[in-house]
Amino acid sequence: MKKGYENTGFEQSHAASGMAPVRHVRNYRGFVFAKINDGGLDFEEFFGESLSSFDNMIDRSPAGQLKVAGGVLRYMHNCNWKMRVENQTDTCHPMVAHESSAGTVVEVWKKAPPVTKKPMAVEIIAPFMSPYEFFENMGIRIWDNGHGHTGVHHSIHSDYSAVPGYFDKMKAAYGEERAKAILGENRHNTVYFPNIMIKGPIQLLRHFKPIAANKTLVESWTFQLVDAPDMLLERTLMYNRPTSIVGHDDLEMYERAQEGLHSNGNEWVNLQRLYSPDEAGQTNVAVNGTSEWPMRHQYRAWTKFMTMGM
Amino acid sequence: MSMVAEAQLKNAVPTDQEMIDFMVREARLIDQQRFDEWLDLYADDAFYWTPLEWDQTDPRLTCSLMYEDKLLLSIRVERLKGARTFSQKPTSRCHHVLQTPQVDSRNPAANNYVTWTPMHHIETRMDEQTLYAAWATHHLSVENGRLKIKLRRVDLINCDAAFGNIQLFM
Ligand SMILES: [Fe+2]
Repeated sequence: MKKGYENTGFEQSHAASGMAPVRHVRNYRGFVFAKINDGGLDFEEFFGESLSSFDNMIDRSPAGQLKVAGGVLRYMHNCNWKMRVENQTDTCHPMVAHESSAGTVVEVWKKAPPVTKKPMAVEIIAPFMSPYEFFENMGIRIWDNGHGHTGVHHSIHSDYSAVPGYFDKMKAAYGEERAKAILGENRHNTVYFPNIMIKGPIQLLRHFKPIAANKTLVESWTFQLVDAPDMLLERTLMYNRPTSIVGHDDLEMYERAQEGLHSNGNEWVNLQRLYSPDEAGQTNVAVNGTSEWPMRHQYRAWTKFMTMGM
Repeated sequence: MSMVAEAQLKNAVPTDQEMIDFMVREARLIDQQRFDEWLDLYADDAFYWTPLEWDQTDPRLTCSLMYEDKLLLSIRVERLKGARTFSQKPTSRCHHVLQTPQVDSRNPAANNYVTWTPMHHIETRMDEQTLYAAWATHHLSVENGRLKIKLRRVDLINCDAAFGNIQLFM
């Protein structure tokens, strides 16, 4: 509509060129990343080797392609967004926080009459009760810029039963050796600092959106492996239930911790577990799976980006 | 707390009133947290389903807020009683307001009856109280002279909203 703008100087205004285009956009195998700021790191520099987790998730499709499927789930948590991000690599909480859910699953399953097949839900929830040693040996990898992942050697996703017909399709697409290598990767959670997490073996992406200092919206995206059996999507969706009792445990902890932060009794949150003085600056290292190095690493990245323009 | 026991069906084919009484009783068992008795209303192959999407047709390949068989429901009930269930310290309470259930279909030959119950479910814990408005669709059948739930579908009016914990049953 031009009428009403004549001789107003509109052509010289900031509004004349319409919405500001996003100048830095990158489509990485179907995932579109945008950077609004002209400064800062470029795509390769920012993500570096961490893109291997996206690669592994996508390679799990015999067609090398993912499709958004199953609906996008959103849920609201009354806690600070950083708690959600730190939790992704916190391997010391499951056996305690999830005793009520995973522990009950283990107990109820013990008493269940012998049947031929373990239900998918039991297979998914029970490993949360694995002992500390399991999580220690699972390992954590640290990359640049706050990124990293749990599950270097194995993970709670390692022992899912085979899905009929899937491996044959993978073998036909990639050859046996490569197919085994793709599926042998059992990365648990890959954190992309500041606020994305993906689960390759589950085909899931969670986006943590800060709404307020004590409010976080979580968006959970699920993907179908193109050309793979539906049963894999079914498992993905079962893992992703928001009303999951495992989720109830976590949310209770976040909200209690958030309340605790309002107290001045101790204003520090300790992240010293398995600290080593030479860790700053190290990248692409695999460490003990119960280390809080990833969280320290996230704060080092935070400091780096917050002071970049200074 | 007053306990109202379940009445046996008078005949092989349930009357509308018997199905209405059954719905009212189910809500009462949940409100009074008599979860073992509540679970007993469900057939062994039953499912409890809360869709995520409006008019959702597929519980398997579309995400749901809840889609659980009897094993998972029994785990949920056990968990509520657990000594280390921190999200239930203190416990939640809930309250149902039902409209009179309507019998949508009755098919005695197939032993299948469907009812429709608009309801409000209020769940509270500490200072928080949340109101959920929903329609419950029950698929029922008769087993050994008792009504049993084969499928309970709860469609929330705001099924696609971002919720926090919903810990009890709607
Ligand atoms: Fe957790």
